[in-house]
Amino acid sequence: MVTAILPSMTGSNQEHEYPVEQPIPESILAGNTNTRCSITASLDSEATITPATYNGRAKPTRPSITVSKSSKKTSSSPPRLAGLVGVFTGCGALVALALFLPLPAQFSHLNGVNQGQAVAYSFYVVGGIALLVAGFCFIGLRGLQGEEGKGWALLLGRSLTSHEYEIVDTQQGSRDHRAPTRVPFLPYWRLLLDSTLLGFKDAQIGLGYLGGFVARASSVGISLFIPLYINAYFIRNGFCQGSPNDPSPELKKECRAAYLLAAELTGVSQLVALLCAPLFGYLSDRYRRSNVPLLVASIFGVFGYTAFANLTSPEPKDINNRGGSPVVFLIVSLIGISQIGAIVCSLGLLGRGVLGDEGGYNLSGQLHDAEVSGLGGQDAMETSPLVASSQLSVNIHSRSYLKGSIAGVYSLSGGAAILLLTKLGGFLFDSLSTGAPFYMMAIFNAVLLVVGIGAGFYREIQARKQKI
Amino acid sequence: MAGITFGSSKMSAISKYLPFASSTTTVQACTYLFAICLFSISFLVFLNSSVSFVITDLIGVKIGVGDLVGTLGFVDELVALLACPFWGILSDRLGVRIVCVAGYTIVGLALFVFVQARNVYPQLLLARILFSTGGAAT
Repeated sequence: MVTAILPSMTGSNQEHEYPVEQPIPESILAGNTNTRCSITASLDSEATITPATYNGRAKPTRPSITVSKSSKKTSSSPPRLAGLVGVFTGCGALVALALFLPLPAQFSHLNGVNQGQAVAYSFYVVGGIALLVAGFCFIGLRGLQGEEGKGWALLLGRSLTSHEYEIVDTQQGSRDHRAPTRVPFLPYWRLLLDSTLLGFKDAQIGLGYLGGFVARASSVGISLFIPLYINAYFIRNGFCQGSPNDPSPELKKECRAAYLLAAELTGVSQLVALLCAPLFGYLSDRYRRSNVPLLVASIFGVFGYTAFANLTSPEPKDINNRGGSPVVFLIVSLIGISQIGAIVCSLGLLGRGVLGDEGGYNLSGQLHDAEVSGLGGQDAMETSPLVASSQLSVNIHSRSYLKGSIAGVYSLSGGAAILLLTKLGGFLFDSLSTGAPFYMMAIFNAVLLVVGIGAGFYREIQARKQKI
Repeated sequence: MAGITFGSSKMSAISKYLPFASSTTTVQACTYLFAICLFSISFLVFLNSSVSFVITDLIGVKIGVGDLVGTLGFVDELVALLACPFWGILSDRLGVRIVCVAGYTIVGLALFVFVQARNVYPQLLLARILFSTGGAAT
């Protein structure tokens, strides 16, 4: 819903700047819930893509992360708000790991509370906060722009099929600004197929999908498997092994250490990730032609995850010769950096891939492309929609008509990563080694690295051929 | 939330400093940033990171935890992939406000239900499905 509300927040009375990064940046940290929802967001963005939009944004794309800093300008725009949204969701992940996760440790300090109850109480607290948030949404979102007239009556009153497009368009709140007929109409399976195949034809977009795959897997690797690893480590060493109803203070103390350590390590990695987000935004903007920032992030990932899987102890101190050391903080920081690098750079790649600057990136080229595709598409469309759609699909430079679908495939690729990592990683965690999910992550990052280097070489060769 | 204390006289003051539309009220903007954005993923992150402790410390299962946790995460993502388009269509009909409120309410209730489970299959799994259904709307 973060994505669905964003258009209402930025309103309709400004320039329609709407890059592909828009639906995704709120996934900055462990953004499971939202990225998977940008499939629905793609419905929105489909309606917004018109040649006019395309012309309007002929200036270089800027990863929206960096954009959040420039809040001095007052004009509202989706990408700039998206940057702000990214920061807030990132803080949300940090709140969960630094404030919610240590709650059971706090509750276990109370007398007469056993470990099971301490866990249950913290869930009650967090559940209560969720209900409070629901209450605030109920009060705070009254009278949203473009939401007038929606409600239970609409749910039952009209048929689902006939008004689909009209509704989507009203949500944008600017029906008169854009004519939906200008969008080339392709069946959904075709859009999905086109944008998936594009991942294999266009190295930039393919790398973007792969980056999304690694990014989403990272978020699960950090939030799910690091605490699991710590939990298993403590149990393996004979701590926190009593029954859930045993209220002995010794047991509670042992369990408490696991919660606090899990919160520390995941919290540090997400804090580092949040701090590095603007840096990667800047770097991926700076090094447009090479994918150096993404490759650096994946190298960090390979090292970080391999090192984590090989730890003798995840503890920052060497207690009873178990072999812990503060290096673990460095390792989780590397993991955090690789996660944020994959997120930011893959979004940048998709943004640039949609605009179709395979060969270099310059303003005049952009303007030229925009003019050609904008005018061409528009003229042809007015005469014959059929011709227009074939023209647009032939013209590989304007993938704007696939913008929403590309965002959708990006989300799907991330979803696939989570499905694979959770199921296979969880299975191997038990049957092979507790480091298995982290080795999987290292392999994902290594694949990203190899494909990234390969794509870089391929582009260099192509560029040299063109010169000759 | 801080947004409630702002009067309606200060309406749209927020659009001077932040990239919001002038039609967006301060209350709306604050709700969006501090309620929706801040908490959209935090409940999922919390559940993901604490689920293994629920299994070991609350239910008392200490063997095969990796596979259980992995399966719960797998089902969560699968349900979310299916529920997302559904909520999206629903939000076009009902409006984002109702869907948002419904989502956080379901998430809150699911967290209460989650710790009532006394076994992993089926109780914890069903609670996780409930959570994921709600989470897809937040």
